[in-house]
Amino acid sequence: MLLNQDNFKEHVPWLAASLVVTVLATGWFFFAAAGQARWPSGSSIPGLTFGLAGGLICLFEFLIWPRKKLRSWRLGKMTTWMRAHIWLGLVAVPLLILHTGFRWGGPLSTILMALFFIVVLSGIWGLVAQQFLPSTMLKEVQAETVYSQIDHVSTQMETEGHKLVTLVCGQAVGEKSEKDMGNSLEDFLVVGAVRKEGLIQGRFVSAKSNLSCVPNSEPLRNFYHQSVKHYLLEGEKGNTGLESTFKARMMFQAVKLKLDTRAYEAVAILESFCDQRRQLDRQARLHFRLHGWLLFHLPLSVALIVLMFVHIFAALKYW
Amino acid sequence: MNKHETGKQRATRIRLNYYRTWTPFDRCKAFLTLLALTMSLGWAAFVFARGDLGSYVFSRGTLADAHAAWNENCSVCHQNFTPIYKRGSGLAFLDKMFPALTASPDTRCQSCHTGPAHHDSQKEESTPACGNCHRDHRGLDINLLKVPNADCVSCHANLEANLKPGYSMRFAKNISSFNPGGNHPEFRIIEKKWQDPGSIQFNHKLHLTPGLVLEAGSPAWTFADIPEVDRAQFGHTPGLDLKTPVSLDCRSCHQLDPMDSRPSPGAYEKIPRGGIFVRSQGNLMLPVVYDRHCRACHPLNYDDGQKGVQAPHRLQPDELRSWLEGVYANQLVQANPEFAKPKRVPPVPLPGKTGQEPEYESARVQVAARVNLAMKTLFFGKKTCGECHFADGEDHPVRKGFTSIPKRIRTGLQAPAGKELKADESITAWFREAAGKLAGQAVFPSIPSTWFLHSRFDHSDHRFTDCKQCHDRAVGSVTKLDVLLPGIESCRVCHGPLKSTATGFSGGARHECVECHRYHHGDNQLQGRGAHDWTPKTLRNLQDLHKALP
Repeated sequence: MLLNQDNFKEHVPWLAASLVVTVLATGWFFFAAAGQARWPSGSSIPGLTFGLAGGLICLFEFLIWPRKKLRSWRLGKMTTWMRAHIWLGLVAVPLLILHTGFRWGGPLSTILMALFFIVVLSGIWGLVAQQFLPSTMLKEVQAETVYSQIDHVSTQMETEGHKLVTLVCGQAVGEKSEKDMGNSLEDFLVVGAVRKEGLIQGRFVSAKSNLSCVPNSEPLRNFYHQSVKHYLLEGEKGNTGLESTFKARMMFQAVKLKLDTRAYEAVAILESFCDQRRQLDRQARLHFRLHGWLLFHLPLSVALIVLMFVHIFAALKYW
Repeated sequence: MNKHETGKQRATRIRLNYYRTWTPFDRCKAFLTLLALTMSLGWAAFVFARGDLGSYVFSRGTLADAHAAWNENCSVCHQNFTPIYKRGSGLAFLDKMFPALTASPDTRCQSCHTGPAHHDSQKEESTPACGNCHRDHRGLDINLLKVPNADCVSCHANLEANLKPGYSMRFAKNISSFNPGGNHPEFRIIEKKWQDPGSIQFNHKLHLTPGLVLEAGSPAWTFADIPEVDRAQFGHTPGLDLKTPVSLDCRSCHQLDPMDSRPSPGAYEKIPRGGIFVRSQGNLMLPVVYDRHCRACHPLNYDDGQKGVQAPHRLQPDELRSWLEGVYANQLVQANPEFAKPKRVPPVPLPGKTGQEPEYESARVQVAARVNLAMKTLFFGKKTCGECHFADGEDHPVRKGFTSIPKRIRTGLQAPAGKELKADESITAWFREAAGKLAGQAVFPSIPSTWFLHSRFDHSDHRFTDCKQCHDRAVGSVTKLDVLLPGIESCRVCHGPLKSTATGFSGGARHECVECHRYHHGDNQLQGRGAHDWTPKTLRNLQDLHKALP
């Protein structure tokens, strides 16, 4: 979490500085406004100062992007950058509101202000999401993996599932054997499983032995090829019914009834694969919620910076 | 070909270079970022490429309707990289470092607008630029003349500090609020107890009393005493008894529109077109005019033998005398055409002869006598010239300020005891003698059409109130010297912050400085908007103006 009881002490100086800057700026603004007919505009001395400060902050905020891309340069600690990004971004809000003199102005300044608010609000949404969603993910997605590797891991599970089914059900008629394809087919299988030990949980590699061919286990093969395989590869998009925990349990129960008890372990492993795939789907959804705001925050920040320079030029030209 | 899976491969559940791969989310983010960059740069390029036409997007708001034609043409008013109005940092060293802060680029404004300076006594640094007060870009319906109080109070709260060295104060030093309890002074004309500088004697109390009589038992002035053509103007309605006393009110004489005189049918046609029927804006009372407001009761009858015949108004005594001589001579010639025939008169009179025939001499004396009698009737008669007008004199208020009281003609026209008015004696010469230093000319009435020279008041905006609500002293005023204007408290009943009182509410109406005052004296009677000072030095071609060409 970006903000919690443990690291709050590190945020206190930033919080205090932000409050001091806000109070001083507001005080100066209202002092300059005293006795005046209108609020000081963006071109008044305080307004210009606030605009300059706000613009520089926006530029600094934008620098976090290259900072992330150029990790190897080690330009300060990322946590410090992030704290500065958060608090300076929040300080820019009162500064730029004071810069406007409580007016929207014309088309460009209105667009700029709208962009600024969207960027700030999306940033705040991101901050809030960072507070809650990681812990939710930790609780609900024990099989969490790197987001970009979800498809890769799913393919692995499908490969393992296929080997498992071949081991238990035997070679299907017309199907090329693993040995024919150059692959090993030992009497043990290495599978990914989820385990929790104390506070530590995660996915690990587990070797399963004594898996041998079980007679009359054709229903398992059929079930695998009709449902499990598609679900492992496509996830929710497969629309196999396995995306529902309850329905999946019923489906696996039904398959078990048709099999010899010696095949039950294989069924349990396949069920575990489906459960992991379900968690990966959940991870993908949570990931979007956790990072989806960046689809607004980053592009609009770029537009904001470009238009900010246009605004500066125009404001000086038509002063 | 895939061989036996190694232990390392089995343990590697994810690719080691996974961070180099782009997910759909990353691709979407990058696409949107690129799109935002392209769109913002493209839009900026498009705007700049359009030049002035594109500069509207930089505008901080729509221009007021007076300037709406140049909404998309910033350079009409703005000079590149120069402030449109004085800012000033409040810090001398900063202002010196950046002269643009205190520059006053009024040139562009003044190419179309000029106006007299507010006061030549104000310091240069206290003189705002046009844009300091007239803030545009606040919408189409914004009134650029509605300047907030603070713009005025910035100087008037401490006027002395904003005065050039060597100038003396002519106005109140400190004004910051019109509110009750504020430091806006009483109107000077009331505070200094000025007297009416007009040179027309008038008794408001008499004229506002029904029947126009002050003494009990005196006969009332009735509609029967007014010519039929004028009765409607003074309130007579068809069927009303002519013996009904005439009852005047303020509007009988003080009108905002010429048609308020309610002329009788046919009377309008008799009035020269383009004469007195000029439409007014309705803010000021129209001048009281003899022909419309006085003649009905004060006809200039000059000859008892010629009822209904009136002398023309607006003639000075000499002119009136000439006019009367013409009238009587004409009557004599019409009665005796022989006088019109040419007579041969020897160039040099014969010895013992005057050169004139006795009958001619008799006629001349006869005409002179009738003229003198008519002049006496007009000047001494009740309800005629001398009733209201004053004679010119060296101490006339127009020249000496609004302090002295002009002498009345009638005062000087009292004939010395035992002196008879002779037939051949010029009444005007006699009048001059009697009036001492007086020049013998009737003084121009000089009734002020505008009392407040530094503020404005719109009567038409206040027409819903009874006149006496503010001008209550008019009912009891018996002398022309009374200034019947209301004081500032009368204004504050409505114009001030809304507050509850024991009797209800007071205030609520607008009470900004510009409600009554104009910086450029646009409503000053001497510097109105039609004044030459308001015309730009260089007149421009309309097409050039619209294209912002110089």
